Amino acid sequence: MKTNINFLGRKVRRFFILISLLFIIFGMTSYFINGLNLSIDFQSGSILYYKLDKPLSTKQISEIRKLVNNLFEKSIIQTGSDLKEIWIRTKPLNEEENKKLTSLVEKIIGNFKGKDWTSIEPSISQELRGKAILASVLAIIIMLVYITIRFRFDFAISAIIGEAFVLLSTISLFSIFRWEVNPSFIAAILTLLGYTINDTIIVFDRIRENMKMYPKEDFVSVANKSINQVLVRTFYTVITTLLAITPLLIMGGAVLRPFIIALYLGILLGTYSNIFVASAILAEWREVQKT
Amino acid sequence: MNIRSEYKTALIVAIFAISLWILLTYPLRLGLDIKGGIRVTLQAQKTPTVEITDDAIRRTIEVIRNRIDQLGVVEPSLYKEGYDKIVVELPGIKDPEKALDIIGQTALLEFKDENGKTILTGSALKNARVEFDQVGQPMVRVEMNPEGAKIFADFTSKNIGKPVIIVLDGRVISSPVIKDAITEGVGVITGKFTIDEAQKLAILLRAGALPVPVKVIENRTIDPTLGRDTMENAYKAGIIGGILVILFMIIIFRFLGVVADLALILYIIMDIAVLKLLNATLTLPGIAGIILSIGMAVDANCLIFTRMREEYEKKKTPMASLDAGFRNALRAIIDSNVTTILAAFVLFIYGTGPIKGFAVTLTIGVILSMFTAITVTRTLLENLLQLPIFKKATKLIGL
Repeated sequence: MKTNINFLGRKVRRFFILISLLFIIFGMTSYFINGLNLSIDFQSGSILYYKLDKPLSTKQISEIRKLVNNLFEKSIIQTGSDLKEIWIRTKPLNEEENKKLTSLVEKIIGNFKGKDWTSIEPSISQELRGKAILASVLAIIIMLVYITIRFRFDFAISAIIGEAFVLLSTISLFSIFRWEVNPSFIAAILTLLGYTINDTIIVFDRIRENMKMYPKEDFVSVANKSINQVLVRTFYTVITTLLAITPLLIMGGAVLRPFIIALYLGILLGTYSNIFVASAILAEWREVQKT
Repeated sequence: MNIRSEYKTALIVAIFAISLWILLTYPLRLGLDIKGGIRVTLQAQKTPTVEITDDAIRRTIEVIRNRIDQLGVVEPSLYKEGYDKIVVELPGIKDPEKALDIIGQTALLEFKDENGKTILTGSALKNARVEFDQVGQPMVRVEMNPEGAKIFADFTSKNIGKPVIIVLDGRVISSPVIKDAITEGVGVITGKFTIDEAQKLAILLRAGALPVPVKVIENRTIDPTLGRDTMENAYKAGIIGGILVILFMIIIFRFLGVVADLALILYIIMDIAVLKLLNATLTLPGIAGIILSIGMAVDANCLIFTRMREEYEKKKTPMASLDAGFRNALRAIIDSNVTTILAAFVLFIYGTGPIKGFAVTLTIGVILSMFTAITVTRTLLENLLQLPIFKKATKLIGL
């Protein structure tokens, strides 16, 4: 399978760099204005969860809603799509308030399969998030150093920009679409940190090799040739990783969904960024250097 | 088949056997999100006399671990979070109230004289246990260490007829009057205890006082039903995902794919075996991570095989393209994996509890997949491509 697609032509690459930049600006604006839809894990409060054998009737749900609204000022009631799950989110409850709430709710729902009560102080996860950001920034710096040693500084910067694009756009999409972010999201972002750079290095390695093989040829055409050469492998890898996690996306349930969605998006965005961000920026940089 | 290759094959078979044995015999440690239990976050409280230092937190964790061990919880996990917080995870615990009560108590025991001057603290104790007096009232018998015994003997001989005041966390629990000098370093604490209370006090005294007082700032009860359901589904999803990857590799790479699949199966077995060996705690995102790594583990193989196909067009013999394919793909594989490992290393150094665990799992996965995708695949191919069947039907190989 051989392809010869012009990924890095001046107009093409500038178009995609611009599109990517606009997307990040849009996404980050949304992030700074709306923030993320943080799960209860990041907020102070209590959550009461029930898993049921039979779907709840609309009458039951409205009864629960009325009950909870009467008891507490601020509350959110969410049900699973099959109506066999219900989350009741309230302000932080003490033992006594919790007992009162559960006994009243259980009167309405009758039998249930499982139940979970969580109460959370927000500062903890905030701290974890801060630590994760700090650790990621340091990890990126180390990657920058290693890629500079093994390749060149411009390769390293382009790879890191590509990497940043994937992480920021994943966060952007979660912000724009208001998908819920739970603590496993941090694990997903860290996974993507490793996955994306992996992919970019495969492409850059081929560029490095071809530069030696065709020393006289123009950089952009060498880079474009390299992308085409590893394109098949890029697709195979995207397919195998997505094949592995797709069943989990379908069967994993609410707990794992944010994690898997983040991985899914990040993997697709990683492939895009590889070619249209990291390689495109490298090509642009080289052209500018040449003139 | 040359000698080196024979050794390698034997080594791979041995590793397979050992991993399989570990996989089948060692227990898997499941996280709180799967097993259920309670997670308590404690925050150290600064007082005029104690500063919060790394060392104080470390000693506090030790004391709490001691107390929990006495409660008989299986595999508790305790770790420091931030600079002044301690997370305690107690899987499978049934009585959260009791656990909280024991974890959170400072348990600073003081023996004071009638003027409120401290003579001894709980750190002078060697042992504490519950006994009963003549009327069946429970009391706590404490044994002091030699130094404590000496101080106590000195004090009691000089203060006969005066009270000694026993204070726990600033609360007077009893104030017996000294009748005789107590020289052998044994004392009893009486009070209006129930048996439970006396037992709790004995546990607290045996484990020692916390170097810094702590406050419970988060208490989370996790029901195991949901986690277990999710895990069962994740387990099934993982098997389906694995089968899809295996089929994909065979469809695309034919015999090469079959060999990559064998290496992949070895990878999965080794990965879980190493996690079991390290006694790593498996959480739901952890399981998802393992499933993802199934897809990523074959990446090196895809890279090598596509390269082999390119080389085959030039070289025309399977063995020559095998050699060139591996040689040329190796640099990219090593560079990309070293970058990932370096990143994981930084996460390990600077991350907290769960992030550290993530870094370890990631590193193990990367190293093992490099071994299976490179060494194992290559050894198998070097041996198997020489089979007579591939001499005639090179198409079957998948080049």
